[in-house]
Amino acid sequence: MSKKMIVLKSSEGVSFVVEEAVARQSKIISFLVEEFPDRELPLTNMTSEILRKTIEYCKKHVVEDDGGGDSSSSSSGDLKEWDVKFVAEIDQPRLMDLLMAANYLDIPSLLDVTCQKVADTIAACNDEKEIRATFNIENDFTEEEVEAIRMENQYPI
Amino acid sequence: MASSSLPPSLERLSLSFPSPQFPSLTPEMEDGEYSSWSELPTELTSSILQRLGAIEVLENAQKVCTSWRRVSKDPAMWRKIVMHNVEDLGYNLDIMYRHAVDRSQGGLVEIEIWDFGTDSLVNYIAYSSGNLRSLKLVKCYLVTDEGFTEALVKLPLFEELEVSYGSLSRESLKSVAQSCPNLKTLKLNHKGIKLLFSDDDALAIAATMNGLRHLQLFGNNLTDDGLNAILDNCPNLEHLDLLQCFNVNIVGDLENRCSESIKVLRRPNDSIHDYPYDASVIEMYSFEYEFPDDVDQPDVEILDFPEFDLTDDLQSFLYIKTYESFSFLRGLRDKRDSLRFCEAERKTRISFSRTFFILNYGISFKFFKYC
Repeated sequence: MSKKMIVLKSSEGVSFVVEEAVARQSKIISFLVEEFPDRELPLTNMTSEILRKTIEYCKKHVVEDDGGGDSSSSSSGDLKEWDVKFVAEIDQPRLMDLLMAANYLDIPSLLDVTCQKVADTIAACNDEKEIRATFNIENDFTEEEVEAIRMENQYPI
Repeated sequence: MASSSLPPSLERLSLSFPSPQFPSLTPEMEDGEYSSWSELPTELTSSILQRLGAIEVLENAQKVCTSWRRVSKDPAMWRKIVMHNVEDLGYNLDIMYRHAVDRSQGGLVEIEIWDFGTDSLVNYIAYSSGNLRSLKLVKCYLVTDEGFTEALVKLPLFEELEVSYGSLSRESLKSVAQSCPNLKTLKLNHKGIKLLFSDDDALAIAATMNGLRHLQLFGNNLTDDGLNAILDNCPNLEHLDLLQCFNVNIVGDLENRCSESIKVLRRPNDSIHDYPYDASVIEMYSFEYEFPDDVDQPDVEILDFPEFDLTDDLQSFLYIKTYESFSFLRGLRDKRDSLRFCEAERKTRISFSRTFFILNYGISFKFFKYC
């Protein structure tokens, strides 16, 4: 099987040459490659940084998927560890960009690890105020709504 | 020309084509519209919040902003609920979790309960959730056999059951099978105990759960006979996990049988690296006997030992101090008919005044019933 390469172009116009098998982990790219073979695919809503990250993820995963018929639990365990490290190194705003990229490009496993990372960060917060501060979210509740939640959240012992 | 050939499915994915020659993945939304976490598309917010425990959603996440609140009221958010015990919350967890179940509006499919839970909660869940397919009870020592079987009767679609570190009698196992003809996955996990032998669970499974595909029996006391019975009677079994089942010896014929039909086999001494619970083993080496010189005691066979009833005080002591051990002892009593200790000890008829169970984590209990 010859290794076919395709070109992805970021919003800044930077071209990334990627093995087709790597890029095909995105269901959208997979579709586009078939519809528009031998064409550069511009991803105008993805910065080079995010595109590079996304490709890094896809590369790692395509290698592991190829790695022999009986890839044992240890190799899938290693991959999990790699994923955890991968998202741990990404800061908050870029995590959202990556999550959105995974969503646009339809890469389920990347969407899964990024969503999980967000959930873990939320879970580590003590209350709603800390969550708002961590994610830079504005409190847009009216007083009536706050009171409604308070009334709802009563679980007498 | 390129854009005109695009199928409608891509339109849905917000693709647009600024130049007819170059297809581009540009979302229709304005630049920066998704700059805030509160403005993520609903399905993504939902996917994130679903990964939290019910308490984290009810207590924190839904109070963050209106969009998260809206998502957390969507019944689709509550198809899976994870219930943990949280101490000193100042709330009645039972009521809180009923509220979580109510939010699913009958759509609950999968539920996990950790470290608490009562018969009435389990029955509330079963009553409100006719679509429930998967139930996981971890260290739910307050859920009784009766409460549990009563709940399962209401769940005809049930497919997956896990009971880890609780007790489920042979009879309950059988009634599970009767109530849930679609049961495909069973996980029944205990602390591994060396030198105890019992095929009760295995025989009950073999007799009733013939449709199983996935079976995990961590720390079970089954023997080769029990395993053979399972293999005989569960022809669809593909995944079999026997970690820390120290009485089975998968060699020779048994090994051949396993390799013929089982796709994924975990052997008793395989690595426990991905086992999610405490995997320490109870060493039953240590019955220690004291023989008072001046007291003439009736002979008591070791096999009779589990007959005694724990006194109320002792029960509460054990109950409060160590859930685990209580469950362990209750298990002993339930299984008295088939308890067999190692041969040497079995043959010894002894009289004793006190027996000490020395568990591997160094807790000794004294039992005075026979004093």
